Amino acid sequence: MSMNLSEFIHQLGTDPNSRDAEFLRARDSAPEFTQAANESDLFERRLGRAVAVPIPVNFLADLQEKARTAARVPTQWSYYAMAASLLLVVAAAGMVWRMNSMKFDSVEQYVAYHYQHDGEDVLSRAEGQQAGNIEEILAGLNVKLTPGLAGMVSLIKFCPTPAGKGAHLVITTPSGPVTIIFMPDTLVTDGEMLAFDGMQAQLVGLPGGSAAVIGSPGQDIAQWHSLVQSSFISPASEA
Amino acid sequence: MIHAVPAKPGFCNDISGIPVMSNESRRTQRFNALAEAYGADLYRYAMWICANDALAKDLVQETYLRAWKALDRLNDDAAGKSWLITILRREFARTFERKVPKFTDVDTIDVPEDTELEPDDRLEIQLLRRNIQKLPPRYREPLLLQVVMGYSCDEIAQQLAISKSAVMTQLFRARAQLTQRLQQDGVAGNVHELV
Repeated sequence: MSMNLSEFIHQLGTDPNSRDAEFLRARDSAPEFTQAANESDLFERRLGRAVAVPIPVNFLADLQEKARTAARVPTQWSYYAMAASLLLVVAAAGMVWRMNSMKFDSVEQYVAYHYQHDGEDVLSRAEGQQAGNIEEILAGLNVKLTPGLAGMVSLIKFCPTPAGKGAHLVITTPSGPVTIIFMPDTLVTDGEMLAFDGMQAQLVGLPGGSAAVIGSPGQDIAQWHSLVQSSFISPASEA
Repeated sequence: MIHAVPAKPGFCNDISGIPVMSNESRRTQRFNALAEAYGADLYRYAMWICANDALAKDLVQETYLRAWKALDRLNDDAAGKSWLITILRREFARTFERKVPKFTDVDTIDVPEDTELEPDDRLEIQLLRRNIQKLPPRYREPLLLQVVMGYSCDEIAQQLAISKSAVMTQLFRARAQLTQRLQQDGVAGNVHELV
């Protein structure tokens, strides 16, 4: 038995994104259903935008840092807790320390190590996502993305780089996800191609830094060179 | 010309060449993943229940601090979202609720600059924000769990410890009230009548 208009409108008001087959079939069953669905879609888009209050700049990075910092505070009741906190701090700082203090022979080796460390993991976390914090993250690095590339970013996060802090991005492309590591204040040979662990990367020179574009050999990553090079812009140059 | 890059010898690899992470590194990685996956949504949710930026930040930070301390008790990362929202709601009720001012002004939250937004959209979004804040908590909370946190009706029922049918009624009434108020404001001629 099919849904009547009143039931359909009730469903729109309770669970407009329902995948229920009868509900989906009803959408196009008659003009008044379609009209109700379209108006509901418009309302839901506005509702989604209304609740999407902006996230403060660096909020996520601060969150991670503050939780770890707080874990360092010793408590009176247990020396074990103090020792555990210390261990956590050491572990948490370990990656950053290794990345920053380890003497990489070259930017190329840094890129290879970085991808080996968490490249696959970040790709899997990016699957089906749409990054909503691009501006906040990049503002902390004094750079902006043009809308073209920004619209392709499915995940972005801070990451350690040879010169300190940079950004690890995943973009969605027709040939699958591609990783971009943005490295402020790091000089590279523009256009150099790298190969490691069955992956390929291309280094891209940028004003004020560089980027590594990383993908599998079948993805023809060189096609993204000019887009990446023209998409990382300084807010100052824009003004 | 392709430059082959050897892995840094002896670094983070065991003898089989597979990268090895310590338990603490894994713990940190799990925590970071939870922060990145849900931190923004939890902040938004907190912002709506606290209606104050500083309180919302404190609430989310307190939530993640507790999560960090209790991370080993989270057996399944897939349950991370509901685990975190439970901590946040408990923390809000325990510590933050009494700090929330009676009257708050969500108009201070800027609608982000968006070239796709028409002036009418911006106005409607501002009015929606004001009206969401005016919704009774029993309607507002299920709606925020659904729209901000992406919860299903079943998940909302579980989180709020009420029946699914009660959740559906509250969601319907929440939307109906918002629609009605927008129509009273004269900007929602294109929103279907839900009431």
